[in-house]
Amino acid sequence: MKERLIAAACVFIFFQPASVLAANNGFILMASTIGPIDSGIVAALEDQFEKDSGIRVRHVGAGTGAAMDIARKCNVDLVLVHAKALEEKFVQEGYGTGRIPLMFNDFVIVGPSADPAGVKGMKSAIQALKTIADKGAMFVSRGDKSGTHVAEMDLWAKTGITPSGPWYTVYEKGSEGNVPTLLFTDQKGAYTVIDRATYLTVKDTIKIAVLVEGDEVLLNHISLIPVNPVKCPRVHNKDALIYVNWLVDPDKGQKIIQTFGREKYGQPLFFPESDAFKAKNRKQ
Amino acid sequence: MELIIDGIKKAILLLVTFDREVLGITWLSLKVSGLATFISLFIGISLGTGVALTRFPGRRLVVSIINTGMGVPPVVVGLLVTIFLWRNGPFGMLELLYTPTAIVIAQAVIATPIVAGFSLASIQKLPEALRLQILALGATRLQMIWMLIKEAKLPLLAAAMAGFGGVISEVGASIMVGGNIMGYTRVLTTATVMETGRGNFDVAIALGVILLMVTFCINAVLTWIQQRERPR
Repeated sequence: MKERLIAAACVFIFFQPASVLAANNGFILMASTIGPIDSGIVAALEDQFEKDSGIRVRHVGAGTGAAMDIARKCNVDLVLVHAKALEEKFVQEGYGTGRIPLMFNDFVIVGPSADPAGVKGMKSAIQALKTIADKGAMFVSRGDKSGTHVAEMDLWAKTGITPSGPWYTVYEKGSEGNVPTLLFTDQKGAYTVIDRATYLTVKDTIKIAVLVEGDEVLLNHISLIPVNPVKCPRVHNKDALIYVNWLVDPDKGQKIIQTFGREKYGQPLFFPESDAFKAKNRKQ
Repeated sequence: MELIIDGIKKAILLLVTFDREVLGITWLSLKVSGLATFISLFIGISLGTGVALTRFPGRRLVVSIINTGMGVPPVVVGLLVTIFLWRNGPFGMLELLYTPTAIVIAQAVIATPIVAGFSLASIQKLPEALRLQILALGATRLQMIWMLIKEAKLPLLAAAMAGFGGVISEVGASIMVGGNIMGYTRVLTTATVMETGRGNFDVAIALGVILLMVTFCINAVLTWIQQRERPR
């Protein structure tokens, strides 16, 4: 008798997921770059969209390159990425129907408030980095080929300087992420390039401050690309477009982007920049 | 060391506060791996018993294949299942990639050879005379097989434990075919990998500790069933 009961319990528990497994239709799949997922904005947008439309969006996290590779196999309906050259190639190959600007966030140059290199308030990030290099002020690099490191290397490439020497410190634990890198930079009283979200997350525990911000080269543009239904007949293009239209709507998705993070950090982490959003602001 | 203690503290905190996300992830891990093990027990025991009790040309090759299957890296299985399931693939119309079903399929494929290998060895090890005796007492072939399976209960439960242990701790295939989607296909192992990547080592260790506890509980129950009988 006991045996039967145990067996029955096992069958009940193991077959119970059938309810979960059955409902795998009626949602959009999106491959998204990791930064926006980690900040929580991707989930915030998806939750509100589901309330508005009844359509569930699920996301798979991957670096920009990998996200597009997933899309090339027709496995997702939409990608959220941030690398212009790769995006244009993706659209050119016919996998994407077009790049749709969604939002941007930005990198900032942080350093000690005493500012030994004297870069505070510079309008040009390139000029600021050149000055740091000239003065030989200590600079910390994440050095792990992450998005942040790549952005830093792009900036150095624009200065025409190959950073090296005792002032240029590659943080050996950089792959642990932006937060540990920033804390290390703070301990050393050095300069570094970091995304604003990370800075805002830990700003209360560190002494270094934002010295250079707002330069166009520091902006990180994030766009949406719907996967082309001609190349991938099975994509849920109709629902994906409903989501895209909702995201770029100045009163819906863009509004959430505008306010996201304000409560927690005192300022937004991302800035809306869809065409519709820009058009609306121009009129006003 | 401090990190590990912090992780254990965090694990206890997450459990006693009934953290909904962690409980959800744990529950999904259990369901997915449990179902996969259940499926693999059906297929694996049938296959193992079948091969153990019959003689046919190429049998050694089949046995070798089963034994090789016991050690196939989960990522390889994950890759194959992904290729079959993606929207361009042969089963693309089912739209199963990045669903819990896909993880169940991949894990069942991983566990089946393990269960089959154990069953094969344990049934084949039973004395030939036992079979003859059962048949001589007038049992049908199916009744005879059922008797043999009952006789081999101890090693077969070990097979279930090995299969379950293999899939609940597996990460490569789950992340590939499931996509680690929050609240949908995120299981303990894929969450651990993700938190490690984010540098949240305490959470990662906490998830690892929870995984260990879950595996221990399941194995304790199975061991209890296995060892319940009086030692002979």
